Amino acid sequence: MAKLFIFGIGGTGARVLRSFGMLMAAGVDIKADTVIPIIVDPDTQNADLNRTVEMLKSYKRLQGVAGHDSGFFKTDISKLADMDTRGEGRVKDAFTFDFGGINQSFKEFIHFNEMDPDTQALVQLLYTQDNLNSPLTIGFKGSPNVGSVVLNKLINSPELRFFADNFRKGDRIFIISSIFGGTGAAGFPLLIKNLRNPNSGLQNAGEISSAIIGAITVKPYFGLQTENESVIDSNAFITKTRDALAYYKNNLHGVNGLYYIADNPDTPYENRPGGASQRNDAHLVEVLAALSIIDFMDYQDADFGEETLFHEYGLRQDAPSITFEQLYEETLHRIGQQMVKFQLFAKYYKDMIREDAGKNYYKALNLDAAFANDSFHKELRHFLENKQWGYFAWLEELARNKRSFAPFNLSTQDLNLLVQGKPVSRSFFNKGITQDGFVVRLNKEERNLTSEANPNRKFLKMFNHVTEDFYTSKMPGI
Amino acid sequence: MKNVFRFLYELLIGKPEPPMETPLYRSEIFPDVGGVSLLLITLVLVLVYYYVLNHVMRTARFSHWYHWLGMLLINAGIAFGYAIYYCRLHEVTPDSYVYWFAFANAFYSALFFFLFSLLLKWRSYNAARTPF
Repeated sequence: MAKLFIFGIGGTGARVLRSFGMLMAAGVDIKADTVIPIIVDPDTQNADLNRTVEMLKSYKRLQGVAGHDSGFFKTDISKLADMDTRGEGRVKDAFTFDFGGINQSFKEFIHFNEMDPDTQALVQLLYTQDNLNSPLTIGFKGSPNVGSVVLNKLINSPELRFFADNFRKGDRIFIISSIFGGTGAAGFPLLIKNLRNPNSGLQNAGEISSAIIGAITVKPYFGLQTENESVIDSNAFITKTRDALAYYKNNLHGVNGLYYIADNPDTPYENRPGGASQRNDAHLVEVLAALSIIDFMDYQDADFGEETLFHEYGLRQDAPSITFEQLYEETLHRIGQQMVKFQLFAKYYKDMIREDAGKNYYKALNLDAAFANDSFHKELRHFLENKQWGYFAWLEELARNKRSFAPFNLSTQDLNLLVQGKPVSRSFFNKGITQDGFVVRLNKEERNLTSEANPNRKFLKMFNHVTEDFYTSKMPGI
Repeated sequence: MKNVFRFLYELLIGKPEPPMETPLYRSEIFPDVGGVSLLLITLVLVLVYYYVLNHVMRTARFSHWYHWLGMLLINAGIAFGYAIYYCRLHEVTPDSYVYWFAFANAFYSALFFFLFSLLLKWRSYNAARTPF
């Protein structure tokens, strides 16, 4: 297996990467040794972007402890800078592209005032005054015509050159973008054009131009409240999508697997063009878009030919609130088991584990001291419970968004009722999934895993095995 | 073995009283009561605690230190009662020594429970680290 470089462009790119990170935390299989997310968004203050970055940083720290065989957090996530073995510091140590702080307006960026009058007139024909005066620090505010000019800077950036230097035969590339906004809609075709150009001047340009590239283009799935002062009008999303699709049809070449996804917008989001106030709740479409990355990596090289493989996603059943019941078998097979296992683990870790003080496994791992002092447990609690970007916050956002994705009952303390619509069957002799059942299994696993010297890895493995046992023995219907 | 039990009991409560009962205590009561309650019953209760309650039964409800302590006290109570019962069965002279003997038996049964626990707990699924 090889590396997977994921370019997450714009706000949608960042949000899809957040969901992708959560699926990886749950241990969903992805056929790559290392995933390198690169978030391309000049709007560095964007709350969605920053939440994703914080989540990725936390994931990376946990994965460093968990390794590849602990069940959860098993896929390695790296930053571009991590591949800098010579320590030259050529790129910023971050998951994001460094636009070097574009703290100027579009007008200044293109040196409008230095243009001759004819060129100025042409530019004014192509761009509105809003476009020209718009500060680039908050992105392109839904204007791909602005983005396509600014993002041309990408090709000469140290990040893209560094990416090219480290690209090897067999590595793959995946691009996440929206088609109805500014940054993603502009960045996606631009990136493809440059990556597919064998004469781009990049190192390994030949390898990159023949690499297998996948992409998901997210079509409109949310609306925005109408505000007279805002430059983004969600009523134009469909028109912009139609125009962009027409452009893609004729001009977008060289994508091996192209995924499309969309949804009917329900309750509109607050109209925030960018910056720290752009903080949208996680959405089902972002989870399903993240699945496209997993699907893309499941294909063998030989499956891709000259023609692009197109994919769309469909639910088994239309409903305002989606649970596992509305997903097809293929999706359940990919994410169902790991999501349920991780939810069992996360719930137990958050609400019940402290009550096990004095139990065999708890004493053996010296968990009282570990919870108080061990950075792994502090990080794990942070990852699960952070109110801004943590796992439970993500689940709550998905559940309250429209359309809602609520695979789990988040308010119950009964582990048997954890999966929505799929209660664990119980009888007089079978109490289903209980805390006592957890302790018995954890005690047993603690004894069985004597070869694992690292207590934190052992801890994750124990929970992985125990939740797997519960899933296979108590939840056959999922 | 007789001498071991004689040594243990007399270390704690002195020579049997009244003196005429000394042979009966030394030759029958000490070894019988010691053998049955200190070794047999205590061993059985330790095994029940570690390998029935906390191993065969698929539950970890009884693995706290206070459950273990409860079993130890039950064992001591049985040892205390068994010592009195055995003395009465052999119609020894009702003397305060009988109760001191019962007390010593309870004390040693608790001690043996503790020692057997240290020796036997390790392979129990749910109580390998009980009491510590």
